Amino acid sequence: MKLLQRTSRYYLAFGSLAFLVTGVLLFGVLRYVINDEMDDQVADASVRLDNYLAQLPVVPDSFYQLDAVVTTRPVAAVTMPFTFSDTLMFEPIEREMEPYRTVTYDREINGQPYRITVSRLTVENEDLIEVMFFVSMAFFALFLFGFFLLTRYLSGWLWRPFYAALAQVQHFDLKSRQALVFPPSSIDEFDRLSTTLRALTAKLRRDYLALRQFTDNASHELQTPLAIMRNQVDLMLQTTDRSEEDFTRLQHLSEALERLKKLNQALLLLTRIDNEQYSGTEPIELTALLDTKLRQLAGMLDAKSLRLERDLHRTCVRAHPVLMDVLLNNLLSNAIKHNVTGGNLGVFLKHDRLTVTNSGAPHTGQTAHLLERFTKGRADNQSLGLGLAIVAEVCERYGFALDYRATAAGVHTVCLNFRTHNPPS
Amino acid sequence: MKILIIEDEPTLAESMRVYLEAEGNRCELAADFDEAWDKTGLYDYDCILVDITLPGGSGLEIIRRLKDNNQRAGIIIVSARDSIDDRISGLELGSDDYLPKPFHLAELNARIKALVRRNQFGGQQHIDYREIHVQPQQHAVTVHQTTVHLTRSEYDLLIYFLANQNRVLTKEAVAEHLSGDQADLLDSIDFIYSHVKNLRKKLTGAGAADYIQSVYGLGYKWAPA
Repeated sequence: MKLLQRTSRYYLAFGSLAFLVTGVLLFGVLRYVINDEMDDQVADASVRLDNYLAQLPVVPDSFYQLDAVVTTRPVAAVTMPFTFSDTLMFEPIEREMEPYRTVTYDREINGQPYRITVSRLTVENEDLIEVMFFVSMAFFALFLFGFFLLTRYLSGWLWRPFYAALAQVQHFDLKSRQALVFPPSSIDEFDRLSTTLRALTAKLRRDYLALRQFTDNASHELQTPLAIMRNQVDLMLQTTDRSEEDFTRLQHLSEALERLKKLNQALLLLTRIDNEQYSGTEPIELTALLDTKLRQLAGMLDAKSLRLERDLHRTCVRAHPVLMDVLLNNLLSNAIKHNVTGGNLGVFLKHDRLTVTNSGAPHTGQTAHLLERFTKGRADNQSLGLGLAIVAEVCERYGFALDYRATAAGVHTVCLNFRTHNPPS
Repeated sequence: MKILIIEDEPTLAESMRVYLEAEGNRCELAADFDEAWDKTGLYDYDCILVDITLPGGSGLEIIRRLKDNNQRAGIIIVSARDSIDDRISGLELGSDDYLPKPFHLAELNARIKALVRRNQFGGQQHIDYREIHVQPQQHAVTVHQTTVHLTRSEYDLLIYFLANQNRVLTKEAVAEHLSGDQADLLDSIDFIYSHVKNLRKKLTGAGAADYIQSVYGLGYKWAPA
């Protein structure tokens, strides 16, 4: 939920509650005040009423005095003080029951105690209360609504730098050389946020570049010592009067060197892809390239007695030839390397989709992890765990959708969709 | 053959020299740009191995000059800077081959021989080893005048062996020669067994002696039985 939405929601909830409470209170207070005032008036009037009654020759049972109904009833003794109550009485004009405010009290008039009740129609009061209540509430509602709109507008306007910064960070690409631009803000907090983000992203990019530079340099610098070691081993091998043990040691050395060389080569390739050294694109006929690759790998296919199933339809893709070569090479080598002797290899190219399936050991881990660097399907094998990482890197670069699935039965499927192809800008 | 090795790393230059001289070549070394510049100006070579990053200048500059002077020498770039740009600009300038470090000395040797064969004999030079006769341009192999039909891999393997006679060739070197530099074959290197087995069967089947010896599971050696 958006911040604005959330604050609006809370605000609305609070506003409604305040409105309700204010309404109830206002209604109660108004009613109390007006009734109280009326009671006071009646009490005040009672003095005059008493005088008036005393001057009359006979105290009437009931009469109208202005807007009040007065009834009198002789009682034995003066016992009741002023007692206010609400009653319903028949109103002859409207011919229906109407609410009255009644005060009852005992008073001695001309030596005779009377119980006097004075009832005043309260409809007018109710009307007054209602009008006052509704007018007040209407103003209050208008105020709340106006305030709500104002905060909404203000929030949208005040938070604009925040959303701008957020969008910048959201589209932040470590590999892009474009610096982030945060709009200036007159609000200290947002200014601080921008400054912090600017510093943070700059540092991230610096660290990333330094790391990339380091990998690049390290890989380059490793080439020469590797070359020296390899050549020394080559020369040592030429002296044939060695024991078998020596040859075994040399073999181990040679294999380790080979691994090191492959590792270095793969890291160099990844750095180069990162460094955008393969930036140009050209149309590449995949069918022909796949043909060549399969021919090159025919020896490996034979060695593992793999059954090759292929169905290649003409497909053209725009990419850098070196990267496409590496992509297919790694994809196919991978499918052969992790295959079982006498297994199957399927290569299908149709509707801009390349699907490579191979039989192999059932995979237990997460297939998504296999696309990460240095992740191996099995811990014991000789593979570097960089083959598919390079495939993933190339796919990411060209926006190809890459999907890898493995079933418990040991069927591995890598599917590449070229249609999602967005040439890099 | 006279070979100039332009390489600033002395150990590397020395190992190349030792391997190539054992093949009957005469090698000279140049450790920096100026020395290389002087030597290429003074003498003629059959083949020049050039490292691109040199103290005092770029190996590419030397290639440019050699080509301007119409040097007959074959040029192989031997570089640690295995960047595609260097490879392309090197080949555009007229170098004949590009070998990224680290390489196997046997591979370097095979490349030099193939280059010299192409350059100086128009590829028409035959390779003869006792009863085996190879015509590189036709990719044709005969044993006692009997044609032997080899697959491309088997043919490449034979040429590689013939270029490095009496040498121990590791499985890694053979695998790299057959499937190129980029192939990641670490745990399926054994595929070369079947190629070697087939080549051996075809050659002996045509009446040749078995020259391919296994060396303790380490690799192979082409030598008279």
